[in-house]
Amino acid sequence: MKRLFLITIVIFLTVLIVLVIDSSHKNACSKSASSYEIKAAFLIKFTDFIKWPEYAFKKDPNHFVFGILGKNVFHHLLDPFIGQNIQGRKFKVKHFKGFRDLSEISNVQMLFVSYSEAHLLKKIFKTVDTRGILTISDTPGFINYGGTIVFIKKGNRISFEINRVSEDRAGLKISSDLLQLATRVYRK
Amino acid sequence: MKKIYHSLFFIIILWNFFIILHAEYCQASNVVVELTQMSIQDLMQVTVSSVGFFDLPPEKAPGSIQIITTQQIENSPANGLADILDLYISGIHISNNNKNGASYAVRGLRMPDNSTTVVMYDGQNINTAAGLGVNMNLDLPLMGDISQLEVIKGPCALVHGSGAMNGFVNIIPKNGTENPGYFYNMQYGFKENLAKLENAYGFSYGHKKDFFIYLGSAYAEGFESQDIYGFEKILTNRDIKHSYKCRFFDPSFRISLNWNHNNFHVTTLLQNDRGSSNSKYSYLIKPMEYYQGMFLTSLSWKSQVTQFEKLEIHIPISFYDLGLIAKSIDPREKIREEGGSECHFETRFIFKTHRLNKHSIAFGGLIGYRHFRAGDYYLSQDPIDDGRLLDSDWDEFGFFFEDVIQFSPKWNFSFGFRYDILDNSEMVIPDFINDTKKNIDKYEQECKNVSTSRIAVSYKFTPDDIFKLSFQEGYHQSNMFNFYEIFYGSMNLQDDLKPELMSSLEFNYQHSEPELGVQMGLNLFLNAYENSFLVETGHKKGDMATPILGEEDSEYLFDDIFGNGPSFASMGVELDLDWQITSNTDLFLSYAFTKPHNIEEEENIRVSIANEDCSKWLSYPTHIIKSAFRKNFLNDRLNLNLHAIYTSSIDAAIKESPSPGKQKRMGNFHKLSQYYPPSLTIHASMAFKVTDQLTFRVIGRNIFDNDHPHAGFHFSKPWEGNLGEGSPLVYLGITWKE
Repeated sequence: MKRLFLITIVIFLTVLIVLVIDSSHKNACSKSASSYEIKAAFLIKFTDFIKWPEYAFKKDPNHFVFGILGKNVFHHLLDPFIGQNIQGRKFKVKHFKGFRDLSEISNVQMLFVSYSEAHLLKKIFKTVDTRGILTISDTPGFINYGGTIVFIKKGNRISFEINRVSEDRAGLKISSDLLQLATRVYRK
Repeated sequence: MKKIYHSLFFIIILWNFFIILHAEYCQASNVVVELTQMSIQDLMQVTVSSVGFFDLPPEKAPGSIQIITTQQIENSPANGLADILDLYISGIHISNNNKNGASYAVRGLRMPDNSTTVVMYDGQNINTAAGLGVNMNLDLPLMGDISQLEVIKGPCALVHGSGAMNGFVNIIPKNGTENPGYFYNMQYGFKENLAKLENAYGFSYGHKKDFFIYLGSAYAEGFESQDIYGFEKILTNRDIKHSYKCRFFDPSFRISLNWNHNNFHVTTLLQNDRGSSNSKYSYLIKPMEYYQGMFLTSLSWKSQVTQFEKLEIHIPISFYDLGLIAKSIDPREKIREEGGSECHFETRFIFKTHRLNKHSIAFGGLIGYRHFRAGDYYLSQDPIDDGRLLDSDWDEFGFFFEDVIQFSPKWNFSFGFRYDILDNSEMVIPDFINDTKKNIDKYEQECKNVSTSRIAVSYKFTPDDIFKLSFQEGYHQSNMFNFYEIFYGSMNLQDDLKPELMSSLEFNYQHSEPELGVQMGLNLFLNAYENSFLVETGHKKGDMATPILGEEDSEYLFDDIFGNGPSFASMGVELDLDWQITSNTDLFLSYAFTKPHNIEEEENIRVSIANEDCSKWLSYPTHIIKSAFRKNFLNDRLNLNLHAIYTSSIDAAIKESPSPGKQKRMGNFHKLSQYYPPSLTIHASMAFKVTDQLTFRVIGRNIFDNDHPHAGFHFSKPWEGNLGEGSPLVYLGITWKE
């Protein structure tokens, strides 16, 4: 028994040494992160698969503006991307604290509607001119109110659904690659 | 030897603290930036760390894993955790235990106290070790703090150690980031006068900084029983009239806190469940009342130590009370309350690394200490009969290792092993054990070493099809079986028991049709059990229940229930279908089949949950079909859910009579031949969102009034604690969610 125990310890130590020595390989296996870290990464990745109409950048052609409506659930997660090139423009984050700021929502290309504004979705879509804006949320039922992309939790992973009617209304062009990856695509 | 383990763990813990300090000074790489380097497909495979136990996505993780989401919980006509599992998980059969509340059976195997399935709250084990081990509060109708449930049905000792023979149920609590604001819920149940109140508040104050606090309480008066729904099967004295289903006495409550602050995580749970056991005994004026109380607090630290390494340290501390209160029909006898309590301290660490190409390695260890005390409570006033004071301690040590190798994007292979040491301190035989029978002063169980392993392979041959094959082992050590005896009134102590073992070979196939919104799963399993505690001891003469301190003949019913019994096997198949027909219509269907198989050469030993030739279950239906249908109307304002559960009949004729000794003890013994008719129960719920915050809910359980008692408890009286409702149960609820 004692021998088995010692062998086990030796194996552990050997594995540790190997791990310390071999640091040349990148992670090829699964990874985990918090849900908003994953969602933030999705938001950045989406910009590679979506084409905005030119009029979306009419007011400020130099910036790609990401707006957060309601509680800032991303906190500083998007800070490393501020000033970086996205869609050939400098990335910028704007925070709209709530319904009172709705009138200020213009000149954004992506608008994330936080969970805190779930009860105002109808009013938001009535008030905000969503042309040229990709609307995204993780609130259930977001698509029914006219949102374009909604994050859903499938088991312990994050996935998304796309509403093509809202896409058309917003004048966006979502690539077929992204549409194929969506868990569900709504067409009416 | 014990000193070596202690020293080793001291070194390991020091090493962990060194890593923590080191990590605090390391520049943590920005996770989001790293994630954006991945493709969208890979990003969709990233697991939400705060939610699940698994690092592998469920379809690649070994065995059959089912996840029940918040929406499924909120929309279902379930009234408690046990109901949820009954509605959604294939191959799980829920009934009632005659002492401990809901009884949970998986793939044919039913332990009277659920001790072969680990129930966890936020990854922390909340099973007590009292008796054979008890899962607490499965039927407490308070679920407002549950975000999702992870259920695995096969053995997984590699991860969870003792008790994880028939899988585990991990209750994931809600967090403040995903559930911000206030939540109120009220429910009233008409027939049993159930009153339920739930309040919660979630708040996020930064990235990875949030808390969710919950307080729920429930009270139910119960209702008068009808003897045709079960009692005539077990009770000869039908003159006794009483309310059997008086559940959840005041104060049955649940308070929880889930607090995240950067890499630190605190989980706290306080539960108090007082209810009726539903079981009539001819010598009691009313069913025994049970008391289950628990307090758990766990501090966890999880950190990405380097780009490739992650470290988790968990320090859970828990306290449990477990008691039974009985009142005799003889007015001269006083009310009898017996109970025990337990505390558990543990330190567990898990180190994960992806440093080696294609390897995902995890290893860790734990050191735990448990103290059991009969006749005393931690969380309530001590039981009335505290004359049976009795203490015991034991230590737990464990090491585990697993390597998941990704040979190619399609092939995954994993292997792991675990080594556990369970070391009981010697127990001083208390004076209340009859001196004339007491032939030793100290009782000692030998130190036990258990090795378990897991080997699994998965092959994703198309993006929508995946095969898995796994061999897994589980074990269950009953440290406190002798206290259980004393707990229920015995003065005898038995010989030491070996841990019961289980090996399982499981094949899983999963197929999805994303265009149609269809996901299908097929599970085939072959389970083998060794040294099972599920032994019909009355059928073996001689040494099965050799008392070390007394004679075999005793006036107590449960003197001879423990023993290491036969080897036997079970096999079965499960089919699951999840179909999202339209954006607002879902259908879930499942079918489960299982049967036992005899592999024991010793003819005199019989499994207590199967018939004589081990070809049929005695307390588990061979076929179980479950279905759920959800439809949303009026732009998702109206939600309708319909659930049906069909269980096939149980027909297990037993020719042989029980041993004369057992017959003598069981005065109103009934025939062991059993026939339980097939059962179809329908439950429904309807929720109407008046505003985005306010929802009205109606729940109807057993709506077609065709229920009858389930078979549950396996010791000769399978109806005990399982009584048909006889009429629908209707509940009205109102929820306000900010």
